[in-house]
Amino acid sequence: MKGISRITIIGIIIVILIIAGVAYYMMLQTQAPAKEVIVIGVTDKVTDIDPANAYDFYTWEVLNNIMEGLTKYKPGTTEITMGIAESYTVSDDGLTWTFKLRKNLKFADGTPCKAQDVVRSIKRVMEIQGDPSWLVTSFVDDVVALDDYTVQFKLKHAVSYFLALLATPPYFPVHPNYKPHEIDSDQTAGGVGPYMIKEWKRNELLVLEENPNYYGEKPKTKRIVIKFYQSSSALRLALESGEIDIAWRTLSPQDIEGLRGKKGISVLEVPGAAIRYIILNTQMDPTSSKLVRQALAAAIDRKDICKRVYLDTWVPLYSLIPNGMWSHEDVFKKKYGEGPNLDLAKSLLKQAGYSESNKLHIELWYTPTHYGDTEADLATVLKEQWEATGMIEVTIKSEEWGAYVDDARKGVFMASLFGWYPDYIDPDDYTTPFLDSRANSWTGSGYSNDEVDSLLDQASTSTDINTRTNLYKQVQTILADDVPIIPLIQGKLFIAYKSDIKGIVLDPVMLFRYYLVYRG
Amino acid sequence: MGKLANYLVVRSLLAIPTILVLVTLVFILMRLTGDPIAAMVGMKAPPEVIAELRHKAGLDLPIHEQYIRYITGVFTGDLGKTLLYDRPVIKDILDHFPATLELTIYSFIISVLIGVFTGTVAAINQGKFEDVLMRFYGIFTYAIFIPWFGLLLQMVFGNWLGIIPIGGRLSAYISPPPFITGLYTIDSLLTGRLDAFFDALRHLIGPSFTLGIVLSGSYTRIVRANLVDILSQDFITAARARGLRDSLVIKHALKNALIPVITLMGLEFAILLTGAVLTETTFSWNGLGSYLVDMIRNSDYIAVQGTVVFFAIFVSIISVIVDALYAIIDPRIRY
Repeated sequence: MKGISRITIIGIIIVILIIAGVAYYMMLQTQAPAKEVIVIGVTDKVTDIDPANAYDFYTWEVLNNIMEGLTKYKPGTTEITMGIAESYTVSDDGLTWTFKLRKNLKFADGTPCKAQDVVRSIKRVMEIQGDPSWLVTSFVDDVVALDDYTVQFKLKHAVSYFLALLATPPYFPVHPNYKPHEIDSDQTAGGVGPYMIKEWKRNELLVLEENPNYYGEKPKTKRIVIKFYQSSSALRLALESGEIDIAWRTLSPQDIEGLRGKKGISVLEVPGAAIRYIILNTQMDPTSSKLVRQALAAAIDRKDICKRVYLDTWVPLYSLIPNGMWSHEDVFKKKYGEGPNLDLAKSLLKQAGYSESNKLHIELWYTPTHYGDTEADLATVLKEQWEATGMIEVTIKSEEWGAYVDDARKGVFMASLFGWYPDYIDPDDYTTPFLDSRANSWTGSGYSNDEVDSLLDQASTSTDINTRTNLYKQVQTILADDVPIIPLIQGKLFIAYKSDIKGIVLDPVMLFRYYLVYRG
Repeated sequence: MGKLANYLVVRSLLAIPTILVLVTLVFILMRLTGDPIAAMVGMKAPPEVIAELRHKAGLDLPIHEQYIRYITGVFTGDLGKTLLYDRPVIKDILDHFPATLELTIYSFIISVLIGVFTGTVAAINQGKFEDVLMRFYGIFTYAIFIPWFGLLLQMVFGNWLGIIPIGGRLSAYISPPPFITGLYTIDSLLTGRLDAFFDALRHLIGPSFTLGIVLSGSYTRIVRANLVDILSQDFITAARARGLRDSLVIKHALKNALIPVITLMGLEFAILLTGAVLTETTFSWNGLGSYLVDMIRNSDYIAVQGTVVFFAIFVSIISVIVDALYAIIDPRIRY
């Protein structure tokens, strides 16, 4: 090797050295994060920074940090407290709700926020008819400003969980800059929240800064930077290398395992609000038989599912109402044991006329394109568990998500796997959509029980929590007996962070409050 | 040059049927995967909402009308609105494209530099250890799976050595330069934002080397093969016999050996874009590739359709340019 190739080599080496040198120099420059900044990494996306159309957990979380509604959740609980409202009254028939706003509410730029702004924002949601608008339109007949500080709602029917609905983004007042008649996906003017948006580069970064005009307590950290990653492994590496301070939604089970016990990194887990379940078709042979449905419920081993399919990132669930929510009761555990209860399953199957030679044939459906890579494993484990009775034969079938949802609604599945994220944190959202015969057509279970319908009606209009708790308990007991749906598991939330970060509060509301975190 | 101009016109016109076939394929494929609207809105939406959305997306029209609408749209630059965010697809594409362009340009330069260098080293050391090593390199890079290799770089250089960032285009502490071209390295220089320039450059190292190295193998092989061939030709022997310095000989030989590399560049550019999809998702690079993957995950078939069509048109344009370059550089090419 002589001449030209030597020059090329030297050239390339020089180029590489320059790049490396510059990189190293810049690394020294860009490190040393200020104490007032905390960087959070996520793999979720912000869809629309507009409460009129945002309808996913992550965007709702961001909205909850830059806006606030009349009510809000007390961090760490599922309890409702007052937000930008000071107090409220409700008429005896439960149809008229009147809220008094705090005085001197201001948007981040200093524009005052009055009752008219609350009304304008909610009417805007009703007019635009975006994805979450039903949270308003199904309940609210009209909303008016009686004066600058009084908002009054007229409801279509009495709603016991109206205060919980008010804590959802479609009810948040937004800055007048939001386009009045259409979705404004990249609007950064925000609302009346602890933070305001300083910089927004879709899918790259979101910079939040303390809102100087916020009425409440100042955020503990002045500036929050959200960095958007595209894989759980990148998120994990970014936390390990110090690029971010907190790795939030969503780390994979493997990466959570990998981060546990790493020096300088803490992992926190709390119960989440996501649930998984099997829908059984009560109109199709053989699942139309209650005995068959009960046998299927008895044969399931939820612990085994959590361990083998989800590496214990999910926990067993014995009711549709999740653990940790008021009125929850382990009704399936009471009736069928912790599971698997093969003896009970066998005797139920015998009563239904099946035997080892005359097996029950079950078609179990799942979709490979919506609930992650583990879905096929979940179906396989269920097949194993049911077939362990020796009296059931399971055929697994799958379909693309689009067709799956469609076919479920048409009622063509015998047994199908689905999951649920709540819209508002109330037992109603975990019961009515599944069991009320006027609301559950999407499940395709064909389930209809007049008693359940009437219990749910009472529960959703009564405002007394003890009465409601009692009603939901009755509904759950009937659920475990009728088994149109078998609840399986409940999700957990994981967050990994540098050990010097303090103030992380997570709860089943699933909203991470950035304004509470700080560097210790 | 008149002839060349003629050729270019014909060549450009020929690209149209190619694009037409491609967009038709995309149109058909996107309709074979179930109901996109149902997939997108999920199970909570009532049937009336689904019907409304189908209507909005034009999915309730007869298939031939949908097709005509779609083709007219493609040729007038209207790729529809995304189902997910209700934004014009073309706007989304133009938002994400500069990031992809920046990544591909740097990767392209790196792949050619490394490829030509390794190929030359192999050819002039034909049969020796260096040759074996470089040929092995050529095959090895060809077999690399981008997400794996990217993750390896992230782990070693990002996590252990702390030299490169794990992902993104800029650090959390640096605000992006004002939008001029959308290429951060260029915009930051144009506006004198040196901090942003170096930070952007640092973020480019990981993804552009991943993609550059993976694609350099084909250059290694083609440069080596051509150079070996040319080095054994008479004019080289003659030059050597006249006592020409080795370095000059190789310079002459290399000039001739590089012509086929230009053709390869055209072909590689399409592969480069494919690789960009994987590289972008590995390095959380917010380009068109990430966008495409995101939209596929969300079953937003209008956005997917638009992005694929955009890629196709872009590759067609590049291949026309490469053909033109080829004609200009190689005097033997006549049309």
